[in-house]
Amino acid sequence: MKSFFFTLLLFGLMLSAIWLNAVYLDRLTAEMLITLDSLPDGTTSAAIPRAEKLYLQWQKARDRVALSVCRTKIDRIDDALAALRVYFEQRKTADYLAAREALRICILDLREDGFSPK
Amino acid sequence: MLTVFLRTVVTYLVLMIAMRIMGKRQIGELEVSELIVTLMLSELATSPISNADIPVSHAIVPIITVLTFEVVTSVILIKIPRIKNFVSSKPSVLIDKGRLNQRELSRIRMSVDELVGELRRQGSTSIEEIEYAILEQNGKMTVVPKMQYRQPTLEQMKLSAKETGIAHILIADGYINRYNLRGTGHDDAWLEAELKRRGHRSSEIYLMTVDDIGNIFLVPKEDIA
Repeated sequence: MKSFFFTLLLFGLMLSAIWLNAVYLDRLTAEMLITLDSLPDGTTSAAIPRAEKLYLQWQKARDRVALSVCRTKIDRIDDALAALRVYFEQRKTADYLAAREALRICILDLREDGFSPK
Repeated sequence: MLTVFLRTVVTYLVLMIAMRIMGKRQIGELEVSELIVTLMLSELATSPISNADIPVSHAIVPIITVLTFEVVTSVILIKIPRIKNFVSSKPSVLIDKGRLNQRELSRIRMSVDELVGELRRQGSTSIEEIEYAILEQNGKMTVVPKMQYRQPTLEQMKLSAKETGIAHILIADGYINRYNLRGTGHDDAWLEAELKRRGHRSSEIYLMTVDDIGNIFLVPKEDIA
């Protein structure tokens, strides 16, 4: 029976880890969406600190997210962030807005791995 | 490459723990549910190793889940035997009191050629010699010969012999197994004395065993370098 109780304990720990991971992803994506929404609609200098904040939020969380999320989703967010930055620097407002929307979709997609549905 | 290596190590360790918890039956004789679990585990384990897109946690979570289901199911089957009939098949009696059970052979889709081949594999040259042949739940066949074809026992021959029990390993490849040493009622001083009497040290011994009546079997190490 020792192995039975050990298995239940292991199962409980696993469920706790799944729940905590879901809570973490929920919180992370919520914070990133708030920061993303705070970006202005134009390629103004006011966007720079907020974009930096968004970038740092993702960089800080990226390695931990990689433990439980498919590489495809992570790469898509990386690409979307890179595109956002490039279009901002090139002052291509229409592309910048499209990239911002694409990033929102990627973050919402990541949010699916938490508790919240898309 | 490093990622693949690390994933392999992690998955291997998790599988090792899972198989250890599930017990020897997973490695040896498997029932249907156990075979399914083993096959699933091998599939689950290899996916994240070969596919870098899948995080390792996507292997660990299903492995632990399958392990939990298997262990819980096996405990439930022990506590509630009636449920076992739904999960496990019953043993099939193919030869019953010397008579071939054709209906049962047909039900389990076994041909008489296969039956005879299996009996031959177990050392029986003719079906006439068999009292019972039972196909167990794990797929192995138990063959019970008729009395006149069985090996005579010492009791039947009115002979007696000392009960030697089993041989307990005391030294294996130079290492002393103190658990077995204490289990056989001996200690280090006794072991040293026995080795000294035979002109050896423990590090020079490849195998040393003692049975339940004190017979010692000893194999010194050879120089295989």
